[in-house]
Amino acid sequence: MRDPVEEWIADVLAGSGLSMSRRAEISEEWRRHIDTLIQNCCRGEVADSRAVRAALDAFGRPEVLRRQLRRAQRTIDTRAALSETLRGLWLLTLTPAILVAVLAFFIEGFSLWQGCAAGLAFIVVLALPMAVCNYLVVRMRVILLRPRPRAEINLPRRFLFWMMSASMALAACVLTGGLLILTAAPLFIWGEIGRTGSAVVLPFQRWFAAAVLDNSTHFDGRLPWLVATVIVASAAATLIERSRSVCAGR
Amino acid sequence: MKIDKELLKGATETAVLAVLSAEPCHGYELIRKLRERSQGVLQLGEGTLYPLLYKLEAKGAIEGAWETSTGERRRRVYRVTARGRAHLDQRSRQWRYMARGIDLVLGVPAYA
Repeated sequence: MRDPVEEWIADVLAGSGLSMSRRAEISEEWRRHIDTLIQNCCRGEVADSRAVRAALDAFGRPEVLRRQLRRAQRTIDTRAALSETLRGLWLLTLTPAILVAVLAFFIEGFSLWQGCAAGLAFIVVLALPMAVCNYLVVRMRVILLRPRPRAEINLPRRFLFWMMSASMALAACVLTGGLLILTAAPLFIWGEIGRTGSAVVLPFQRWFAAAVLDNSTHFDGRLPWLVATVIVASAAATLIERSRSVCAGR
Repeated sequence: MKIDKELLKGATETAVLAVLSAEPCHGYELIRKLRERSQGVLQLGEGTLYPLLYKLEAKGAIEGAWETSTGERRRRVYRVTARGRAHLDQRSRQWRYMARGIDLVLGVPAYA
């Protein structure tokens, strides 16, 4: 026959939406607590079954407890997702930004500070889509993978998760490209301002606008190569970050 | 005397942090210490304590670790982090300030 305490804990934790490892940890923690309560009751010469009942009653009604655990878990998940998003965002935006800065400095002959400003401008442009993408991927992982035991995370579920992650990364890249074009549009329309204006005003946009306006001479046909490199770098950084998180079991 | 849940809401978190800042302890011990230190006013139930501990842990205010003392099975012991201490200081100041205000409104002799 199964231990009534174990059974009660398993019943409470079953609908709590917690990960298996978290459930095991909480289960052990509560078991110790309940054992101590039972011991104290038995010392007071209470029959075993009544002592168990009293100990379990101290924890309250299972449905209330389950609801509170779920609420606590939601807070934990949201905080974890946000902190992971911020952590991931740094990596996801930094890689392409460094690439942009390096390209601007070595290939386009920008000065060092202009190269750095281009990288910084790129971070600003990239931050929003990457943040959205990263947050959605983190939440998706919680929904699709986390509350289930490893055996239940079957191949279709895993495939679905990776496919959705890849779509998110792609969407972020497309969005980034869109934002780049959007921010460069005024300079594209009033190209002269972009080319003759102060170099202090977002050098990257100036650079991008110049590339669009004067593709053949300025970039010598390297623009598609540059865009492709940025997209590949962003996608690679996204996948590296995702794999790192999944391997770390987060 | 039974205290209204709404009144207890913010106070419980502060009380738990205060007890843990004095000495790290596990759940069972924490409930006992809370009862003793509040002279029976704060009788926290297990069903309230654990979700609260998990929330505080997620916020980074406390951290839990499995510890084994001699002759006993391992238990999860919670201790306050630097962030938790800062949070506790802030909450204590707010609590004293608010309590003083309420006392004044209620006409408690010390301030009247």
